[in-house]
Amino acid sequence: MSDTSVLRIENLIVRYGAATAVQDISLSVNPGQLVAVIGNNGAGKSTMVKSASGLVKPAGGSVTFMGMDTTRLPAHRKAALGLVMVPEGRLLFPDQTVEDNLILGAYTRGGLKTQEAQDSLARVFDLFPRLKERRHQQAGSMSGGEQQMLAIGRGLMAEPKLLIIDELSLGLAPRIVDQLMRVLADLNAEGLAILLVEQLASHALAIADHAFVVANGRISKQGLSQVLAHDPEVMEAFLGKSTNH
Amino acid sequence: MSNILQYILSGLAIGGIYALVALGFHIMWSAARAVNFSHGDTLMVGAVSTVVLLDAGLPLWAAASAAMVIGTVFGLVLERLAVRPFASHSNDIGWMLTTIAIGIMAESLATMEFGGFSRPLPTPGIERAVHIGGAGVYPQELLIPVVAILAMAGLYIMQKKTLIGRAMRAVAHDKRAAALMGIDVNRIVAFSFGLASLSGAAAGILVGPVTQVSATMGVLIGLKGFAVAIIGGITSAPGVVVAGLLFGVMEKFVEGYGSTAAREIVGFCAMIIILLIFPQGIFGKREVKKV
Amino acid sequence: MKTLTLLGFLVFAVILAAVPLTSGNEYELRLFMLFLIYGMIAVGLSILVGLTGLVSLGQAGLFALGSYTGAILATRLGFDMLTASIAAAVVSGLFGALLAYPSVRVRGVYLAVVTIAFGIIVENVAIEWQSLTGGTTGLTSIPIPNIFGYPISGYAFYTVLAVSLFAVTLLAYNLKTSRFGRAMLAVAQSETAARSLGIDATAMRTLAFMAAAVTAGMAGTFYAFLNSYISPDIFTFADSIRFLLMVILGGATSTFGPVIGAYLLTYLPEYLQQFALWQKFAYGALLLIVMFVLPRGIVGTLVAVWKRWRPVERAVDPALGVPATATLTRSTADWSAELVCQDLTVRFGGLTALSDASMRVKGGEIHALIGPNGAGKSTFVNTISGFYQPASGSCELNGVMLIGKGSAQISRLGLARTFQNTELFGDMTVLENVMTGLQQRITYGMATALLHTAGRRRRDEECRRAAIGLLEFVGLTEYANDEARCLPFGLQRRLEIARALATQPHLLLLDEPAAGLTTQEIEDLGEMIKRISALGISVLLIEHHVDLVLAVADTVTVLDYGKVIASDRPEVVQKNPRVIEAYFGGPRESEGASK
Repeated sequence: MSDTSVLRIENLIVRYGAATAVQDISLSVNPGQLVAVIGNNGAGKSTMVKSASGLVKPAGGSVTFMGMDTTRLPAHRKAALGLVMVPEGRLLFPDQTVEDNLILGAYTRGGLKTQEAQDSLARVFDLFPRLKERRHQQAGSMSGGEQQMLAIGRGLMAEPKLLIIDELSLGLAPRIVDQLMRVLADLNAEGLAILLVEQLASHALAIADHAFVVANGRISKQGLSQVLAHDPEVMEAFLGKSTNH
Repeated sequence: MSNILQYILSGLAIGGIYALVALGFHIMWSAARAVNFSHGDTLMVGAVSTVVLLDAGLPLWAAASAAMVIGTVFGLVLERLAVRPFASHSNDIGWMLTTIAIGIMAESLATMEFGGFSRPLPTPGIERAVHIGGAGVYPQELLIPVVAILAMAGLYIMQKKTLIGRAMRAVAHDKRAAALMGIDVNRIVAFSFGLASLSGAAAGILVGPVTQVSATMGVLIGLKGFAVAIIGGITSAPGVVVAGLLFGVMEKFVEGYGSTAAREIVGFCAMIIILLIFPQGIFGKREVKKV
Repeated sequence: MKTLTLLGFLVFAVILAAVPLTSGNEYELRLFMLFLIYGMIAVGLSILVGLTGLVSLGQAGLFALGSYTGAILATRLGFDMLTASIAAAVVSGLFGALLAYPSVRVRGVYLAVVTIAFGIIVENVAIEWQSLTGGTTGLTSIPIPNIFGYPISGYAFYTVLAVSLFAVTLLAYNLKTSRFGRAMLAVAQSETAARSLGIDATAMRTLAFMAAAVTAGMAGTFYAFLNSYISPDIFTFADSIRFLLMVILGGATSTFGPVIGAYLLTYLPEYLQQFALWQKFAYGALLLIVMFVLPRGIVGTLVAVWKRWRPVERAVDPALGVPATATLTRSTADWSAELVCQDLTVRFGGLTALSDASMRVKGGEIHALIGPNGAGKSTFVNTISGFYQPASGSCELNGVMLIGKGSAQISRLGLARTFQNTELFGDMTVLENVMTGLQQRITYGMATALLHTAGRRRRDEECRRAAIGLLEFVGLTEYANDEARCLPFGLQRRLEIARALATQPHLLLLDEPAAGLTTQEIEDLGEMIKRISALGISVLLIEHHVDLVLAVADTVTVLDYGKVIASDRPEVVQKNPRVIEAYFGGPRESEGASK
């Protein structure tokens, strides 16, 4: 049986020193899918994708990308393969310009050397005209929303086969979150596989095909997004059981 | 009057060397948050290699080029052997002492080759002194601050306009974010140590003709280069170059009106005082630390 | 281990007594006396390196300072050797305190460069100040060793040195095992945590610098008398490196390590002389090898091997402890500790992390602070515990203003905290972690500590028993002698709570204590929080785990975008639409349908 999924995580375990942040997580993203991972803070979502992208070494389990075992590969090798992550808190290079950040996104393609890379830049500017206006501005001087646009744009510059986005909404106003979610939906409609890790569940469920709920380092629930969006138990994972109905 | 001009010109010459050394510290620190504590010995490696190769009959240009290659390799080996194994330690003692150890070993090897005395490094730049307003300097001395400023400009252009320069700044800012861009952080760090050592070896070849070449020529220059990097702000390339040139000029004045011992006292006291007032150096940026 | 140390001191004394009887000639004895002098420097420096984790590469400067001070007092003013050495120790100690000052602002490599610069400055002052120091020729007419004017023989001088080294080693051991030594170790391992326990980190670093300086200064005077000649070129940067290497080679944290390191590096050059030019090379290679092969030093490695071969009993008998209730209720005589924060605003650059946040933790209640990621919870915690300074607003604990005070001061006012990413003192044992917290309340002075008086022993024992009681309170007595970093994560969290309680707080601040815990551990934690509250300690709980919050909290305050959006009983907050939106993003259709 050949593995058709873009990303397949199996029985992943991640420890920080003595703490086990991810107990046992398995999930997969198929080509063209937008998969959401939701759950409360500290549930292990972020650790799980950090491990998938190579920033954190897993203690057990496997991470398969495009049919290749990438469990032990360091982050920069994974990025070169097309497994690209937009990290939590964006992690831009604030003292460099918007354009520099985008060029760094295309690092594995040699910057803007090729025509294809320049086309990618044009496309990112199409997607986020604000970035074009501010291309010579320092990334750190922009607003939170613009920074998140840049982080996504920087991820797209790598020509990803899978884009992992960790906590898109972090620190952003709801209106901007909506706007960015629509962009992700559009990108996905064009065929890009996306793994979205998000605390604001209703936003993520609105655009995702499939979703996983993480609690205490494990998958507590999974299924079609529309189904989960109406599941009262999902809500409880965030705000606890309603005590008096 | 001619005295003052003399101090300024000679000061700029030695200050240019401090600037080049401090630039090396800046390059290493930016990428690795660690430095070769014996960076001064890289100057010695450059200068000693040049003299040895000249002895072997090579023409000056070939000896100097080969010496710069040797210096670069020295830096790369040192990074791999003495710095990288301690990179993840929270404590700085590790790489400080291992790089000091390698410096001691390099010095002793050079002493074996050279003996304990100084030797000249003849270049066209010190054949004849030129006189400017009553002050006599060698063209070589005038060349040094020019090279320092050009090196700074070159570094600036590299950091702003080339992919590897952008990658270096990215690594300096956040290693993990850089890795997510596909940047091989270890390679960038090694590259920066290589580049710093290349500039260090070049500085050694530049200063050798003026000060003579010996196995221990780099020790004090290296320490002062670090002092300059701290004064100017190790995160700022223009900062360390300006601080280096000023430090050199100040030294010549103190030495001229006082003594060599007074020069060291004033110089290092200035460093400590400036560090207390500006912990990030005069032109340096604050490095943010989270609780 | 204690009996082993005692045995060590006995053997040490025997060796010191035996050497002069066996040494064949004066040269041999002189070399051994040189070792005794270096030993004093190394033992002093080991307090700085081993306990506070700082390095000094300027120890030769302090050594020179002591040497010149002693020599000048002896030649110019006719001081005898002992008085001169005491004066030199004082002068060096003062400079040591001065040298410690930059450590307030800079660490690591910057501090190392400051110490190097200090060494070079001293060397050059010695050259420049000719009228006093004799310039480059140095001081030549140092009198022969004498006490109160009476010249003493070589053997008597030997005795003075041997007794001095023995005393310095013993005092260093007493310091290391005292509350001061433990506080220094705490500062080195986690300054943040140390400050949160009320330890004055700057004072501890200054103390360590002074200890290293006093011994170097005293040794300097002895050296001047032994050599009867000193000049600036005896005290170079290379010597500073050698002193540091002595400490690291022997083992910075061990009692006898620095002595052994000093011995080896005094005699090694003698052996290496036959290699002529390779001597310096071998010296560099040795430094490199030590850093890679023996980072803990010879004795440190031996101790580690010994501990693995003969592990200490892990558990302590809970019966030895004073019940936690007795330790803790004493502090809560004034029962209700109330925390009132008003209009706190904190900015980082352009970002406003907290904006006009007000909250009130009533005396004796369990108050939970929740909010989505990035809402400003951590900022709030770090602000009231003194790690951040707000742009505006006020915060009072029992009517005492907290804003503007340092975290150590706030801890002493009765606010204790734990940390999101546990900040234990990893290399200390579980019991020592708690004792470090207690020792800010159960105190004794420096002289008492150094002399190891009966009073100190009594206080130490009191502290130990209280610590055992606190460990029992959190259920950790069976791990008491384990190193803290070896504990499973869930137990590390509990230990951190015990350590915070050890400061006998009025208000306990728990920063995400459930993060990374299993479901069972979270339940136990909830039960423990209730027991703490029952002792009359107010609890402020910052937490994501809603089950825990709902189970224990009396009041819940919700932060979003740096603002307080709700504050009420848990079941009310849970249904607040703004809270649902902040957590979940927009109202849910299903909610509307079910109601």
